[in-house]
Amino acid sequence: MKTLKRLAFISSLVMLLVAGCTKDFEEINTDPNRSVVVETGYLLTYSEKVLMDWLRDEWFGGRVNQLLAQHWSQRNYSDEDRYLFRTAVNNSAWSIFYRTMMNLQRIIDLNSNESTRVQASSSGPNDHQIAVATILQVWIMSIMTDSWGDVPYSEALNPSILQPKYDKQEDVYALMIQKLIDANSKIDLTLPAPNLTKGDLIYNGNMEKWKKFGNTLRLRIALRAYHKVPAYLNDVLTLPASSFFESNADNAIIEYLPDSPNQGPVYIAFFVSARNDFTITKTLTEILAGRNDTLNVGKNNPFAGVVDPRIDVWSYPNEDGTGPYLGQYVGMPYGMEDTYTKAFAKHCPDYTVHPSVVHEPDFGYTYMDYAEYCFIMSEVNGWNQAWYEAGIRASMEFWGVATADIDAYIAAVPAANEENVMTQKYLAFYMQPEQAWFEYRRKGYPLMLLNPGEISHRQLVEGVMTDIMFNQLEGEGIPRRLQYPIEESGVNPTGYEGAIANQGADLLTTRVWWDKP
Amino acid sequence: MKRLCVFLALIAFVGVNFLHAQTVQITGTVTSAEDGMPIPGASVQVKGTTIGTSTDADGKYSLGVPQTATTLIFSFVGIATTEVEIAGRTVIDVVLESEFVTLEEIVVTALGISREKKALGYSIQEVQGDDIKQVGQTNVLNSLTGKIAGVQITGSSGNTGGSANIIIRGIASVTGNNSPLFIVDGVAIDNSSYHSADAARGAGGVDFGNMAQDINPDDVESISVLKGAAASALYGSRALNGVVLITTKKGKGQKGLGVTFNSGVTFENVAYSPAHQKVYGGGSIASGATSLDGFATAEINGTIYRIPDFALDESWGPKYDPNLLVLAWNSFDEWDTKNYLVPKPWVYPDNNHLSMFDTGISYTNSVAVVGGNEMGDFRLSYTNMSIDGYTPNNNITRNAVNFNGTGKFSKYLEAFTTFNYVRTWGKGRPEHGYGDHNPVMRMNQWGQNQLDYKEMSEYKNPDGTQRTWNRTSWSNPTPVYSDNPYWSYFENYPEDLRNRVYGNIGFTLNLFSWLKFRTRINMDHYNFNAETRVAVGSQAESGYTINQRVRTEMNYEGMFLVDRNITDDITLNAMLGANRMEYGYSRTGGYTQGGLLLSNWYHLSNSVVTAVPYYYLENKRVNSTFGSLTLGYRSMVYVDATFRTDWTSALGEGNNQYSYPSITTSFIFSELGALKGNNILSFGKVRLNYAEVGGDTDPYRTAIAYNSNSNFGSNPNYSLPETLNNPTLRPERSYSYEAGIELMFLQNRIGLDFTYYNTETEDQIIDVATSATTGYTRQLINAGLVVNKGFEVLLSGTPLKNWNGLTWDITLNYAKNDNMIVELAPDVETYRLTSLFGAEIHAEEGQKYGTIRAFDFVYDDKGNRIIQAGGTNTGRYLNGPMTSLGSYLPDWNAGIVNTFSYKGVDMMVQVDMQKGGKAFSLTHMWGTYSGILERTAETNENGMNIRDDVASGGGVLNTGVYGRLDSDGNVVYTDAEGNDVANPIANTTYIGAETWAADHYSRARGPQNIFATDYIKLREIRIGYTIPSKFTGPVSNVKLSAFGRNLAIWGRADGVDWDPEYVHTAGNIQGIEGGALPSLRTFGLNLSLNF
Repeated sequence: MKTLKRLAFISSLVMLLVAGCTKDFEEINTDPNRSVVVETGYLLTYSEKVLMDWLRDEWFGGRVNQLLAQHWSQRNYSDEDRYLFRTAVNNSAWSIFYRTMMNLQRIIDLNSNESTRVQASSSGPNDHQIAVATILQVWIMSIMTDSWGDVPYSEALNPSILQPKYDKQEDVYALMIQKLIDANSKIDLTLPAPNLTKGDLIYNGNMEKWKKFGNTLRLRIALRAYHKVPAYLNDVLTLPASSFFESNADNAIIEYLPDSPNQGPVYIAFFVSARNDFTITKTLTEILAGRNDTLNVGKNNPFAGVVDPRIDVWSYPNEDGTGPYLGQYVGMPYGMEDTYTKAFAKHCPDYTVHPSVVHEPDFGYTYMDYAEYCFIMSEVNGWNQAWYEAGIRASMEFWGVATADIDAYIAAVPAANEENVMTQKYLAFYMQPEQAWFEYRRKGYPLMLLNPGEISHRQLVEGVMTDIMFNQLEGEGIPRRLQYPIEESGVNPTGYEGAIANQGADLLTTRVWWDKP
Repeated sequence: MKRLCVFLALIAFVGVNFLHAQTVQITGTVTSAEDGMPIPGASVQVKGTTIGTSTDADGKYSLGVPQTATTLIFSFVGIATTEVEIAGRTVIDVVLESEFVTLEEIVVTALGISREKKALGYSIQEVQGDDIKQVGQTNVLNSLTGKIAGVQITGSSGNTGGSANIIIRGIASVTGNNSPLFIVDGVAIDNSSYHSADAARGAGGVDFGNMAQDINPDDVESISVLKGAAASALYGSRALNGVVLITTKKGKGQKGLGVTFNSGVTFENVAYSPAHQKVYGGGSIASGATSLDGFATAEINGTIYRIPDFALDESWGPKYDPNLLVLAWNSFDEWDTKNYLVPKPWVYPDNNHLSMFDTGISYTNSVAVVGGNEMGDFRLSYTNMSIDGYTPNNNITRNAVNFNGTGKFSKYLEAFTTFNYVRTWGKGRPEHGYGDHNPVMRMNQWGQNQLDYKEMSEYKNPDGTQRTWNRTSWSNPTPVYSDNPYWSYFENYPEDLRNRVYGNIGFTLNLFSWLKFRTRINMDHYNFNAETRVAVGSQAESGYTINQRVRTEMNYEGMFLVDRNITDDITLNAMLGANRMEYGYSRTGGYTQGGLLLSNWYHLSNSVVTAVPYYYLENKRVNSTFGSLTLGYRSMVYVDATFRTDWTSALGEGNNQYSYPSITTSFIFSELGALKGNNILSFGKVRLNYAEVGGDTDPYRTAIAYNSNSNFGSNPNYSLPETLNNPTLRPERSYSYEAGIELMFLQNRIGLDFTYYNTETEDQIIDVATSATTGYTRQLINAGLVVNKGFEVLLSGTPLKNWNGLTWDITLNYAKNDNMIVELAPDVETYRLTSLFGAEIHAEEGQKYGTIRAFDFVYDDKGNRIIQAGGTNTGRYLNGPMTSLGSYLPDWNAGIVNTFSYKGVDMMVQVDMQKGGKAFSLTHMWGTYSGILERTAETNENGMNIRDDVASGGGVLNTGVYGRLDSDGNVVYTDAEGNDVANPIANTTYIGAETWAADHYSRARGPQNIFATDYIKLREIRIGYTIPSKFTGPVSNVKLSAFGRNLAIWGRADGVDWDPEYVHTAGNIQGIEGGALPSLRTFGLNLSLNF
C-alpha cells in the first residue's frame, strides 16, 4: 500500500510538471521547411520570372490582353473575346503583380535597412539592387495603372495598412516618374561589372542596360501622360540619346529555358496544359496580308497591298483540303459567339500543329524594346520618317526577318504619319499586347480593330448567307480599362469606393485619367 | 480555475489517507429476467451504509463490503429495489424483473469513462455495432447517416473507398477543421483527408478518403457521439466540433474461449446517372461545299466518306438516322481490319456510356477469438475486406487486426491494451470532379453521345499507343481534349497503400474501492503512400507523383478517478489528470517534370527533367491538465464541472496557455416523490449545461519564412509567402450552452428527447483574405464570430410490443441548425473559400456559411426575368450580377428508423431526408452546353424538338419580359425590337437550342445550374434471421441478414438525374458538383456465427 501511495504521489507530481513545461516549444514551432533568411538575388529571379509567367500565360495574357489587342482570338469559347472576363483571372493577375512588387520591396528593404544591408550586398551593391527593384516595380505599376486606372501605390505594400487608398492616376504617374529618376541616380556605372552578382535574368547584372531600361521606361510613361502633363516628356527628353535603348541589344527580355519547369508561358499553355485555345485574329492577319476589311465599309488598311513578312513568323497559309481558304492566310474573325468560333477554327492556324517561334519553350519575352523607343521618337519628332523606318526594322530584326525582306517592305509601305506609325507600333507590340491596347486607347489605331456591333464574319447559316456580328457581352465598345477584381470591393471597400468617387463607375467603359479629354 | 484544481488535488490526496476496516470483495452480474441480458448501471449498495457501486456495461459489479454487512440492495431507477442476503457468499448474481432496461444505459463519455446516461447533463447518442457491421459499409461514417440527430454525414456512394464528410451541429470554424475528433478506445484517430485543392473544389483529383475510414466496422462495439462542447471539453480544443467515441469489442464477460465468424458480400450497381439525349450524335453540324448531310466529308482512297466532327467534344451533331453511313472514330487504323474504313449507321449506340460500369462486388470476412477468466480477457480479430469496384480496374483491399486485452495481476493492478493494425491497398480509385482523368465527367459534360463504349474498350494500338475518339482530325489521331475512357482507367490510375497502427497500453491501480489511478500511452501512426500516374501518350503531359505521408500522434495520459458516496444521498465522482500530446507529420516524395522518358515505368528517376522532391515536416506538442467533479443527489440531481488547461507549442510565448471550464446539470424530476410510480410519465429529466473551449492552430504560423521555388537554371528562386504569419496569434474560443429535456411515457413505450443549443465561436484564427495591395493576399489574425444554434428532437416509440410475437420500434430524429457568420474580420465582409467556372463558395458576414455565388438573372421589381431585345440576341437572358444564391448547408436533416422483430427475424427500415441546401452543378452546366443531357433534345411547346429550326417551330422560349438596363443599372422595359415601353411585354422570341444551351454558361449561370440538394432517401432495408440454437448444434448465434441501401431517392434535380447527396472530398469546401460519380444501389448478404 505504501508503494502505491508513493507511486500515486509521484505520478501526480510528474503529471502536473510535465503538463506545465513549455521549455522546448520555440524549437518545436520553428518551421523546418522554409528558410527565414534569403539572398536578395533569389527574390529578383523570382520577380523577373513570375511577372512574365503571369502576364503572358493563357489567362491574363491569352484571355485578357491578347484579346483586348485583337492580336489573338479564342478558337472555341469566346466569352472573353466579347469582354466577359473571368473574375478569378482578373483577381489572380492583380494579386500576383502586387505580391511581386512586395518581393521587390523586400529587396529594397533588405538593401536599405542598416541591419541587413551588408548581408544583402552579397547580391550586388545595395544601391544597384534598389534601382533594379524600383525599375521593375514601376514597370509593373505602369501596366497596372494603365489597365485599371487609379490603384493603390503610395500606401500599398505595407501589411499594417489593411485598406490602402487608391492613388489617383495622376499621382501614380508622378510617383512613377519620381521613382525612375531616383533609380537612375542610384546607378553608378563606374563600379566594375557585373554590377549585380546574383539573380538577374534580364541583363545578367549589366547596370548600364538597366539604366537605359529605366530611362526608356520613363519615356514610355511620360509619353502616355503627355496629354495631361507635358513636362514629364519634356524633362526626360533632355537626357542624352545614350541614356536610352540604342539597339535591339539593349532590349529588356527574359529568355526562358528549354526544359520544364522553366519554359515560357505560351509554350506551357499550348503544350504542357495542352490548351489549343488561341489563334491569330482576322484583324491582325488582314493588316499583315495587306488586305482591307471587306465586311465593314471604310475600315481600310494603311498598308493595303503590301504583305508584311512577319506574317510568316506569326501565321502560316491555310492547308485544309480543297477548301476555299487553301493557301490563304486566314485569321479568326474576332468577337463571334462560340457556336461560330468552333466551326471556323479549323480553317485558322493551329499552333499545336505549326508552332511559331512564340510557342518555343525558350522564347524571349519582352519587357520593353528598342522598336518601341523608335516609334516614340518618331512621334515626339512629328511622325519622323527615319525613326519610323528604324522602328519597323528593329521589330522585324527581332522577329528574324531577312534584311532583304525588311528593305523591300520599308520601301513599299507609305510614309510616316500618325496612322502609319501607330499601326506599325501596334504590329511591333505583338507579344506585348497590353501595350498595343494602351496605345489604341491613347491614339485610336489601328483603325482596322473591330468594334462591337460591326460585322465579324459572313457565312452560310442554315443555308442563308448571314452576317455574324461582334456582339459584346459586357460594356460598350472596346474597353477603356479593366474592372477592379471583385475581391477588392470586399477586402478594401474604403479604397475601392474612393477610386470610384474619383475615377467614375467601375466599368469597362470608364476612361482613366490620361484617356479623359 | 486554479482553486478548483487545488480542491481536486486535495480530494485526491486526502482520500489516500482514509483506510477502511476489513472488507470482503463481492462480485456478480445483474441480468434481466426478460431476456437474460446484463443490466448495466444498476446500483448495488450495502444496506445501512454509504458503500455502493453500479454495474458496468456488462452488468458486472465488484464491491468491497464490510464483514459486518448482511444485505445488498440492488436498485434501478423506475422499479422497486431488490434486497439480497449476502449469507457469506462472495459471488452474488441477481436477476431483476424489469421492463425498463433500455433506459438505464451506461454510455461511454469523454476520456472513456462509463457513465449512467441518466446522470449526464448533455445530449449523447449511441449506435450499436450490429447496425454498423451488417450494412457492408467500408467507411464506418457512412453507416451512421441519418441515425443521429444533429450529425450530418454526407457520403458519395459512387466514390468507392472515398470520403464521407461529417459535421456535428453546424460549421463553427471559418477556415479551420470542422471535423469532430475521433476516439477509438481512448486513442485519438486522425481523420485528415489528403487531396489537392482542386479535388476539394470539384475540379478533379482522386479522393483517397478520410483517414477515419481505417476504423474497421466489424470490430466496433458501439459508437457514441458527443455533440456539444460540454460533452467534449475534456478532450480540449480538438473536440470543439464534437467527438465520435468508438468502443471496439472486448473479451469482457467471456468465460472460456469463443469464436465468431462473420462473412458479408455486397453488390453495387449504378442507380442514378444523368440521362443523355438519344436523338442527336456528337460533334457539330457541318455545312458548305465539303459537307454531306451535316457531316464533313473526306476522300480516302478514292471514296468519299461522311466524317463526324471528332475533334469537338460536344453532341450537337446530326440527328441519328440509320440510313446515314459514317466512319466511326476507330475506322482509320489499318491494323483494325474489322473497322478500317467500314462505314456504320449513324445511331445511338448499343453499348452506351453506362455499359462501362460493372457490378461492384465486395467481400468482408472476419474471424474473432474471445477468451477470458478471472485473470483477464481478450479478443483478437482479423478482418479481410476486398472491393472490386464498379469502375474498371478498381480494387481496394483492407486487412485489419484488432486485439483487446486486460489482465488482472492483483486486486490492485489491472493492465490493458488495445492494438489495431490496418493495411489498406487501393488501385484505380476513380478520379472524380472536373478532372482530366475522370471519364464520368467526360461522358456527362464533354463527350459525344453516339460512341459505343464496347468499341472504345479497344483503347490501344498494337504498338501500345492510345486510340481515342477525340481525334484532332480523321487523319490525325492525337487527342484534342479527351483520352479514351478505358485508357484513363487502365493507364492513368492511382495507387495507394497505407499501413496504420493504433492502440494503447496502460494500467489501472485500484488504490481504494473509491480511488483509481489510470495511466496509458496512446498511439496513432500511419504510413500512407499515394501515387498517381499519367501514361505517355495521354492528352495531358505524362508524369508520376508519389506522396509518402507519415503521421504519428502520441498521447501520454494519467489520471486519478474518484467514485464514492459521501452520504446516503450524495455521490461524488472526480477526476484529475494530465496529458501530453506529441504530433509529428512528414510528407516526402515528389513529382516528375516535363513528362516521362520511358513509357510504362513509374518512378521519379524516369523524369524528363529532374523530379521535384517533396520534403515537408511538422511537429507540435500540447501539454494539458484537466479535471472533473460530479456530485449526485439521490440519483436525481447531478452537477458536473470540468476544467482544462492547455499549453501549446503552436502559439507564441504569452499566448500559448489557455484554460476553459464547463458546468452541466441534470435533474431527473421523475424521481421526485410525487411523480414516482406514475403510470403515464415513466421518466423525466431536464438538462442544462454551459461550456467553453479554447483552441490553438497549426504549427509554424507565427514567424515569416520564404518559399523555395524551382531554380531557374542555376538561379535559385525564392519568394515571400502569400500569407503573412502573425507572432501575436491568440487562442480561439467557443462558448456554448445547451438545454434539453428527456421524457418517457407509458412504461417507456413513447420517448422524447429534445435539445436546444447555442454555440458561439470567436477569435478564430483565420487566414483572412487581405487586399493583395498590402503585399499579402492573406494575413493570419484572430477574428470572427460564428453562431450555430438549433435543436434536435429524438422521438421514439414502440407501437407494437410483443404483439403475437411482433415488436415494432420506431425512432425519429430531426435536427435543425441555424448557422450564421456574425462577423468575419474588421472590414471584411466575405471570405472566398473557392471558385470554379464562375461559381464561388464564400463565407459571408450575415449569412449562413458556404454561400454559393454566381451570376444571376436580371429581375425587374416584380421578379420577372429580363430578356434581351433588339438585334440578334433577342430572346436571351440578360446576364445579371454575381449574387449569393443560397448555401450548401442544409436547414435540417431527419431520419426515421423502424425496427421490427418477430421470432428471430428482425427487420430495419430507414428513411432519411435533408432540406435546404444547394449545390452548383457543373454536370448540368456543361452537359447542357455540350448537348449531351436529355434536356438538350427535348420537345418544346410547339411539339417540335428544340433543336429544330426556330423558323419551323423549334427552339426554346425563355421565360421573362423584354428589357434592358440603363446606364444607372435600372431595368427599362422594351418591346421585342428593343424600343422602350412602359409596361412589361412577355418574351415570345424563340432562340436556337445551341444558343440556349451555351447561355447556361454565359448568362445567369447561377440560377440555371444551382439545384436544391433536398432529398428523401430510402436509405436502408435490412432483414435478419437468427436461426434458433436447437437447429445449429455446437454453433450459436447463427444470424443471416440481407440488406439494400440507397434504394430510392425522391428529390433528384430536374434535368440532371443526380443523387443530391454527393461529396468530392471531406472538408469545408462543398457546394460545387464538378463531375460527381454515379450514385450506386447496394445489396448485400451477411452471415455471422459463434462457436
